[in-house]
Amino acid sequence: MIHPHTELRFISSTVGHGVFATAFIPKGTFLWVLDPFDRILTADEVRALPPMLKSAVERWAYVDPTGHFVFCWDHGRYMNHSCRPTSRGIGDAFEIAVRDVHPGEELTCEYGILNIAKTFACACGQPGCRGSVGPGDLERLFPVWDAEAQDAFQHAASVSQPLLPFVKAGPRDHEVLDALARGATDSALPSHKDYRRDGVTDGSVEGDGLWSIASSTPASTARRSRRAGAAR
Amino acid sequence: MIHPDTEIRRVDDVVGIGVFATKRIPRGTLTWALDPLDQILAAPRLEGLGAQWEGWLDHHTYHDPSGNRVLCWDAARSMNHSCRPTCGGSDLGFEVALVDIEEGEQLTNDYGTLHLDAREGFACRCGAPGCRGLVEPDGSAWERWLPELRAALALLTEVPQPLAPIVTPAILRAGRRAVGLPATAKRRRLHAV
Repeated sequence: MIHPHTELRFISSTVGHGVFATAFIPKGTFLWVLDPFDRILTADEVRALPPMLKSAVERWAYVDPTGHFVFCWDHGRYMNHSCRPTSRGIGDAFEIAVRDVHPGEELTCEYGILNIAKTFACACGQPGCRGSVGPGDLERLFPVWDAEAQDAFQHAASVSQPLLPFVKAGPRDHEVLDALARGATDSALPSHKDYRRDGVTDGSVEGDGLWSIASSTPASTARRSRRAGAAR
Repeated sequence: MIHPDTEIRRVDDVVGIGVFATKRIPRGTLTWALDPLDQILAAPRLEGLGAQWEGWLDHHTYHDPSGNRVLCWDAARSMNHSCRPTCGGSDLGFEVALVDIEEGEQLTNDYGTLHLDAREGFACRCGAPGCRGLVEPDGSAWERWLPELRAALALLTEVPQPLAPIVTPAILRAGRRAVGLPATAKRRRLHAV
């Protein structure tokens, strides 16, 4: 579920839509949480969809570390990538604001954590834009991403958290919730590198999609709802 | 899934957003069909939710005839009420344009056909001719618009149907029968787009 003080806006025919803040949202606020109505689909389930729906999932879902497609029910699925995103992922279920977000500002996340199977050209235009975003970025950049998440989490207990009642927390997310409840916001958070799906290599996907159905884990694999970042 | 020639637009601060046609959608076009990404929430799942979800459920889901809540995955869940709706038929598992919907016109439902519960009546400001003023839970369903539905469903094979790949022939046959039309229309197929 995306933060309530956001709305969907059309950006351009190239970028499509994006998610924008309608009010001030302070650093440390969870901008998105996994909730019980976000659909988690196996690759087989995606393959079985009529083509129109399959395209929707390929476009708007992301792939979690177990190879499942996470299709957010709300406009959280329209979050765009930025090389200087407004939020970082924590565990499977959280995206936390790493700086203050002002009204009218776009909410963005890091696709490098979402188990993309193809490098894409980035035109985010932010300072430090990498120019391209690919499956290998995580190995190189996770310490920076972890540090930003850790820094933001220190503010998590002192700001309003409207999404907390709605989170669907997995085992590792409970550690995060417990730390927050105790006010222990300097506790070590799970690292981004632990949410990488093994075996994702660049170029293993054809067509326009960033995520590959063909290379996804078969449905027989044990289903765990570990996740990485936010939806696109 | 909602008809592809639609988009969400802001109506005003009171109504919020609505669903608008980006191209003309002729009467008899399927404007929505229940699909596998829509979630049908049965009572046990609803009972397991905390009180924090109550307002969310009212806002984003509708009741089906079996007492389930239905959460549409796309813009369909943002369709507004009108006492003179442009679309109807949701209980049939699909909806059809009851009138020609012009570009820029809103796709609407009569919420009175959506099995409102006792708390869900509301004062209507749709401004349509014949606006009921108060939309009340009265137990009526899609049959309220039976003549309009019958006329629209008679046109199913006459107009382009971008949603044809989403609906099964069996669903359409059942829908036609439910409004008193012959189950099959002159052995003609839908014009998929």
